[in-house]
Amino acid sequence: MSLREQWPTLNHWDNWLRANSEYDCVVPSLPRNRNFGATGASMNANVFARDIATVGFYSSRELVDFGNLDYLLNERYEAHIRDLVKNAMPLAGLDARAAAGRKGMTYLLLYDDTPKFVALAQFFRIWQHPRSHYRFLQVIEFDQDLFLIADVRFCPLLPDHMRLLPSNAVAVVPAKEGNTCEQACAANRGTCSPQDMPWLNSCKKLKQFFPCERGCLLEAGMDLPAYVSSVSVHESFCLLASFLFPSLCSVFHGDQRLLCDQDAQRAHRVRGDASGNESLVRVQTVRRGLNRAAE
Amino acid sequence: MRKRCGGRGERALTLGAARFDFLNLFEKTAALLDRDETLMCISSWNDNSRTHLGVDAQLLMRTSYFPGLGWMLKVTGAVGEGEKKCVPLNFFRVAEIALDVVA
Repeated sequence: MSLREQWPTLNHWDNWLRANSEYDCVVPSLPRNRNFGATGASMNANVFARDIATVGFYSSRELVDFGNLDYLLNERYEAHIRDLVKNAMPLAGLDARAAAGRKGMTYLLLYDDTPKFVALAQFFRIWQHPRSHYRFLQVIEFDQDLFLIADVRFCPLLPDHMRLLPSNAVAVVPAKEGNTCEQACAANRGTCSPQDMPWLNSCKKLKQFFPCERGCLLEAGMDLPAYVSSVSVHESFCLLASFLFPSLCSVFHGDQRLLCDQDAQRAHRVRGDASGNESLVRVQTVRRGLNRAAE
Repeated sequence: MRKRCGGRGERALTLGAARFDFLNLFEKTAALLDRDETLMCISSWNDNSRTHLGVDAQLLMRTSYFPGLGWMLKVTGAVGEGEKKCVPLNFFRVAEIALDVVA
């Protein structure tokens, strides 16, 4: 089904597009517009001052000659970034760059969790969750050096020895409505494994376990990733975390009075039969958590 | 003349003198959308650009993270053919910028 046919009537259609599209876009190093929306659906004055007002802006009337754009074609661009990575100097920390003793260097900075990325983002004063990345790699020019900032869990452009892959000794378990991951894993005779949760945070993975009828959506929360199976504005969406908090095994979202099963269709039938009260069902926003159980 | 319904400037967006290069950017890059089926859009915005970071007015980059904020979309390809001429951006007042292309 094309993106056009699935396009939602939602406030956050941009986050829907981010979660569902596997396509790339082209952006300028220096923006050609300025955003003045200090308040909005997902904006406030503090974020605006930090992350929007500081964005650069091309303010000349001169038309730029962008030259030959072949370097932006998929295979050529990927090869170029792989070359940059290959020739970059890995840095254990930002302090270590002083050892180079000169400018014009290309450095590689790796992270494997949110706190490490936030520390880097605070240093470079960029968004505190990865935006405008290319396959989870961001290219930042700072103080005459080039910095490649990459997530070792998700960036396929890194050499194998730098990548962090999920453990093979885990099983993915879809939870019942209103259950915590602890409960779901216990029912599967396992233990919840929060350190493996980040690899479940993809639309492709969610669709292996849930119908995700309206596609996926980026949201925030420690109970994600999840599928919304009850009647609500987000019903039938699969929700991904835009900002990877540590997932908690003890968190759930929903009303535990509802009855359900692991099979989505049966869950709807059982819930309707058991509650005998449709209005009660309609006001619930219940997510079916997707959990990992260590075997 | 062929009219594309792809150029969009959102409500909280201004162009100033860059309005000339805003359209220039789209005009110069439109062919990329035809040449590369893994590309969905061209945007005039970059979340990672900052006044305290190095920038290059001539340099363009690819991103896998939809940038939004003043973007051009190809109505076929990634978005797909369909009955509607434009995708429904119901919650935004969009200033549609019709890009007339000589066929």
